Formats: sequence, C-alpha cells, structure tokens
Amino acid sequence: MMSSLVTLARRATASVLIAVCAAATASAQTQTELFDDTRLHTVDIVIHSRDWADLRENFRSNDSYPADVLWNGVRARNVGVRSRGNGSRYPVKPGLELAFDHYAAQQRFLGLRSLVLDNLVTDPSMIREATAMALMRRLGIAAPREAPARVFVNGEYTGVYMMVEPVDTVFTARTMEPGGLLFEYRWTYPFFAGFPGEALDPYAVLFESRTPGVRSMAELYTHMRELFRSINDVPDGSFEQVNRYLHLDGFIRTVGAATFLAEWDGVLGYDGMNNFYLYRVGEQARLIPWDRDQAFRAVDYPLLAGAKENVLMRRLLEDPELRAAYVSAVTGAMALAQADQWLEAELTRQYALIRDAARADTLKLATNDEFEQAFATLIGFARARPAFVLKELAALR
Amino acid sequence: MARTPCSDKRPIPFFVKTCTCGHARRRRGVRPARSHLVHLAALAIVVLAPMRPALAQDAPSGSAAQREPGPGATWDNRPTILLGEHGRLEIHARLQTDYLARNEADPDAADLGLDDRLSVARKRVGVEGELFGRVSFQIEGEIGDPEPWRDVYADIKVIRAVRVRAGHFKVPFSLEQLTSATDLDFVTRSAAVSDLAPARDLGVMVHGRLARKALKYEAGVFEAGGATRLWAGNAVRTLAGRITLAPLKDKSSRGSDALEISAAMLRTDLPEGRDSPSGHTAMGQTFFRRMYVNGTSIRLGASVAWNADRAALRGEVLPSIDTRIGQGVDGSTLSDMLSTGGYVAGIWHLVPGSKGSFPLRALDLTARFERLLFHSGATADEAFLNPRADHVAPIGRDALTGGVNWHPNRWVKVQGNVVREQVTDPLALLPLSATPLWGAVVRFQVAM
Repeated sequence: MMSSLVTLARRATASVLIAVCAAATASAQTQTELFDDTRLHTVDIVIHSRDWADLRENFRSNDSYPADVLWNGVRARNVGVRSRGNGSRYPVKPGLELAFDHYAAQQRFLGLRSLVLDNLVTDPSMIREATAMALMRRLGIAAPREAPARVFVNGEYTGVYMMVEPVDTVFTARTMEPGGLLFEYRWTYPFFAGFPGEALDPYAVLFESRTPGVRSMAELYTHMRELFRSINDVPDGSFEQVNRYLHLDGFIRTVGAATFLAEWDGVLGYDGMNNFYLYRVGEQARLIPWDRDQAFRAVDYPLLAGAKENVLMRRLLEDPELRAAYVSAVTGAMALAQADQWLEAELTRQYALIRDAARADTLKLATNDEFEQAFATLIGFARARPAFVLKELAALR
Repeated sequence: MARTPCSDKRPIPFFVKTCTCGHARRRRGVRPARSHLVHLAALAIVVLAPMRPALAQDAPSGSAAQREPGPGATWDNRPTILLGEHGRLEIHARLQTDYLARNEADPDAADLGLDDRLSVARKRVGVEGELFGRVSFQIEGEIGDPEPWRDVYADIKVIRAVRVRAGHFKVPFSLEQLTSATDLDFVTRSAAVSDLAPARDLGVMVHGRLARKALKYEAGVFEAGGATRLWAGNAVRTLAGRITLAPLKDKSSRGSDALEISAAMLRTDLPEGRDSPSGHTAMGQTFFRRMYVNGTSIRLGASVAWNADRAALRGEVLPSIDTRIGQGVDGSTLSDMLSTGGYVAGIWHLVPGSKGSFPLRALDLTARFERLLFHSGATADEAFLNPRADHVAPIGRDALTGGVNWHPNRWVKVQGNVVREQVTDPLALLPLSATPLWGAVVRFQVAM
C-alpha cells in the first residue's frame, strides 16, 4: 500500500515537472496562437537524415522517428514523427503526424498530445479542408482548428502544409467533456451503418480505440454494438430512440453542413462511411468530423448523395421530425456561409495567405496553374451552390 | 480521399494487445499455430511413458554406447543407434506446451478459452552422435518454424584439452542461455538473459578443459544474425570468450559441477541501426524499445552456480555497453547505451532426482529474483525514451518468480510458475501500470 502511494506520488510529481517544463519551454505561446489561421506559420523539423529517408521510402508505414520541432521560437524535443494519411500518403511530400507524447506518455506541447501536418496533396487548391472546418466551427460544431504553415525539414523547404488539431482526448476535453471513450472510424470495407453482428471483434476493426490505456473489448465495444443494433432494429416511427446511443442533433447538424459543402467522402461517402470519430460519454456517442479535403465536390453534388444506402441516414429521413431537423441544418449552414458572403471571403483570404508559399512549393502534386484554377473553381462553388441547394431542399420539404 | 485499409498488418507477440502503431488488435488473430493433435500426442506419451519397463526407467543415465560396444539399437533415455567402435547416434525429441493461467497485463485474459490459453512453446527433433572417438555432432530443428534450424554443428577433438566446434550453435556467454530449455528450472529464462545474451549464431569455437577439468575455456568468432558469410568483408562479427572455474573436486579429484564460477565477454560489430537491447516482460509486453546504435557492443558476464544434493543456487550479472556514433537527430554522437541485468535463483530439491521413483521421480521448489535496467552514459540533460535520446530515461523491470517442478518420470516434466513483475519508470514516461502485475503459467514438457 505504502509503496503504491510512493509510486503514485512519484508519478504525479514527474507529471507535474514535465508539464511545468513543457509550459516553461513554450513560454507565453498558446494553442490559440498555434492555430491562428490569419498568418502563415513556419515549422522546422530536425530529424536524422537516415530517418527522413526511411520515412519517405516507407511512407505507407506508421513507424515513428524521433525529431525536434521548432515553431515560433519554441523547440519541442523528443517528438515522434510518422507518415500519415490514407489516400494522401505521398513519399515526395509526406503527410506527417508530430506526436509529442509518443516517447513520453505525459509529454505535451502547448497542451497538445500531437499535431497533424496535412500535406494537402489531394486538394489542388490546398484550402478546402481548412475552409470546410472553419464553417463547421462557425456552426458550433466541435471541429479541429487549422492553420497553414511552411514546413522545413533539416533546413530544406518541404512545402505548404496545414497544421490540423488532432481529434484526441485533448480535443474532446476542450470541446466536449473529458472522461469519455474516443474511436476513430477506420475505412475497411464499404460500411453503410448496417448491423455488424453480435461479436465485438468487427466493431474493433471499424472503430479503432483512441483512448489511452488498455481496456477490455467489452468496455470499448458493447455500446457500439448497441448503437448499430438500435439503428437497424428500432421500430419505424420511433427512430429518436437511437438518440440514447448517438447524439442525433449533433449528427444531423454535422451531416447537414457536410452535404451543403458537397462532401463526398464523409459519413455519407461514395463508398460507405468515412472520415469521422465517435466520442462516447456514458451511453451516448457524438460525431466529430475529420478530413474535409474532399468537400466542395461540385456545385450540383446532390444533397442526398449516399443517404439512401446509409441505414442511419435513410431511416432518419423517414422520420418527419428528424427530416425537418436535417433540412434546417442544411439551411442553417447555407445561411451562415452566405451571410456577408462569408464563404467566398474566407476562401479568398486563405488563398491569399498561402499563395506565394504554395507557388514556391515544388513538391506539391498540382502545378501552379492547377492551383490557381482550383481556387477559381471554389469561388464558383461559393457563388452557385446555394441556388442548387435551395432547389434540392424544396424537393425535400 | 481514396480508401485503403490500415496498412499495419505486422505480426505481434503472443501476449501483446496492440500493434506498434497503436491500433487495437486482438490476440486471437495472431496466436501461434497449435493443434489439439499435438496436445493429444503429448498426453498419450505421458500416459504411456510410465508403462515403459521399469528397467528402462531406473537405468542410470549415460551413454548406451558405454555399455553396449557392439552395433545395434537400444532405447535408454532415447532411441540410440550403436555403431560399435565407430560411434553412436541418438535421436532427440521434445515438446513443450504452455497453459496461461493468469495474465494481469491483458484485461481480457479472464475471458480466454482453452484454445487461447494453450500454446506450443517448442516442438523439436534432432539427432546427436559421436563418430570415431573424435567427432561429435548435433542437428536439431523446430518443426513448423520458417527458420527451423537450431543446433547444427560438428565438434572435433584435436587433443584432450583442445576441441574445435563449427556450425550454428550457442554463443558461449551466459550460463542460463547455455542451459538447454529442457533443463531450465523456470518456464522462461530471466529477462536479463533473454534480452541481453545472444543465443545461436554461425561460428567457429575453440574449447576444452584444463587443469584436470578445473578450468574450462571457450573462445570463438561468430557471424551475428547469420545474414552474411562469416568471412565476408561486410560480416557483422562477434568475438566471444568464456572461462569457467570449477574449484571443487569430485571423487576422482577433478573439477566438479558442485561450484562453477564463470566470466565471459562479447565484442560485436554494431552497424548503424535500431539494434540496441530491448526489454520485455514475462507476459511478452515490450517495456523498453530498441535504440539506434552504431559502432561496437561490449557485453560482460559473470555467473556462479552451486549445486548440492538438496539445493542449488545460481546467479548471473550481465552488463553491456553499446556505442551510438552519429545517432542524434542532428547527426551528433550520443552517449553510450547501457544495459544491466541479472538474477539470483534458488532451487530446493524436495525430492532429488537421484532418489525418487514414478510418479514422483523428482520434485523441486524454485524461486528467482531478476532485474533488468536500461539507461545511458549521459545523465545531465533532460531524459527521454526516444530511440535517439542522448540521456536515456532509466527504465527497468523487477520480477519475482516462484515455482514448482515435478518430474513424474525421466521424460516428463511439469512446471508451474507464478510471476510478479513491475516495470520501474521513475520519470513516469511509459503508459504502463504503476502497480505490480501477476502472471502464471504451467508448462508441460516431454523430452527424450
């Protein structure tokens, strides 16, 4: 008993010391400054040349390499750097995750456990993701903060990246309430919210636990199974019962914003559900959007694309009350985007912020002409999408 | 974004819950292959073994060739083909099956079924023999292993005090590592030995006994990892030497095994890579991951073994130093990586092997305390655990094992071990339990 107390006291002291050291290192810098999207940041990564070569060569691997990271005069040491992404994995300009807690569970940088550096190679305009998330946040949806940065590796310019706030326990503590269980949806096969079955293993495949610590399968996935059971089994006309396991209001608002933004690789994705997290406190899980680089698909991208295939969305739309809530969510997102031409102004501002750095980014996939054309297409979307959406909404009401 | 499944499909150790990228993965999909047939066969041997003629059971161990010089075949301890004066061939086989009784490192352990708790640790067959009074040899392999070969060597007697061994065999370094898994007093070797001492490599060794067997020496050169030829220019070589002093005399005034004191040293080339020692718990969790090294590895070893009729004591300490030239994140040279481990074990022969008979041929109570610690030469700067840290945070593991070994007959051994282990992490850098974890395993062994 006594030795356990001593151990606990030691750990607590060490944790405080680490937190104090990290805080001292970061001086007066804050997360708000890190994600200040009104300026173009600079991030320097110091990594062993052999590790950088290995990371690029094995860009499909999730192996981490140690590095030092400098931002705004603050040096973070003992950082784990790894290649990240699915379709965006690219050896020339790798997407990166900087994990401050990879080698020390308690280590933080400005209070963050990690930071995503999105390589933006799947988006020629490089600003879809940041703009889509900005609209989500304006709508009050818990969505990651983002800010653009020029990234240098061992002094060499590696291009424009988007610093993305990771969805982890720090994020959920900031935006919701702490103490829940976080799951990242892993696209494994086209999954449309059907019932995966009684065994818990299939849920572990689809929903990777992102809560630190070792937990039993039953603790992690029993409620997940009940969520999908209820989605598939509750009687017609009482779909609101699903609300016990899924925060339906938040789900509808998030999907509503995504459909206005013509997102084709999200919850109602072209090949099943994708790019979201679930955060469960008690019995009820909340949806958190992720990776909006495929937003702004097309001006005439149907509002209900993917809705019929998805059991959750199909049944939700069959409920008059929930259907009305969905229409209201789309309308609200559109109104906020249109107010003072916010969407067009935001796209223009973000474009101007990164334009010179993006044109100097020789490792990006798109040419400079394609970059400029992609921006012009986005402006066209901002101007024409509302009319199309209004037409679609009229048919829905 | 195009969709691709998680690319991390690497195999993970039997007892580990998560893969290296942190994805939740279950043990059920990666358990070692096993078969009920294997267990049934083992059970049959257990049942049938006591039915062997009592003469065979009670016969003193030793070479059958000593008693039967003529050609033929016999089965004493094991099937043996006698070649008359030219030599003999002995066929070996052994099967070890483990039953996981408790594993507090796995929160789902209580729900495991029999299939998940059983695993086959070893299933080996081999042949050893002696030819023309000068050449002995051994060939042994693991059935079903993609890299099946274990001991494959020839040993030539040059003169009485000088023998030369060549092939694939154990590097002469650690007492416990040199002890066959069949004869271990515990289910697993101590972590210090498993993680710090080399096992088998391709090599050539000179060995022998001097001073009426009171002094034993072994010295050899090995090709670490067996990836290249021993004499190739780019071979990664290990130089190994071990001296054992046996100061007590037996009945014929020669050095006996009643007391053996050994010292050993290894020097290994270290090509640039993440190849420092790593640390593992008894239940298979990795508590210390490998560091990048470059240059040279020096390992020292010292051991004492005392054997009496009713009890035995063994102890071993193994410090090692790995250099890390140019391995900092900025290419700078890091301080040496230091690893130190050791154990003390006691065995109480409740029923000594020489006195029992079926079904209680021998019964031992065993206990072992072991410690393994990783750190670095630098201690001034902030301590980290990343593989290029200059000041490596001290991480260790203490374990206490208690057990019982029951030999119903000469071929069968049942071992039960209870392990209490704790990772020591004074800076609280690891996401591991701060409280000691318990594990228990029962091993069933048939060997001949």
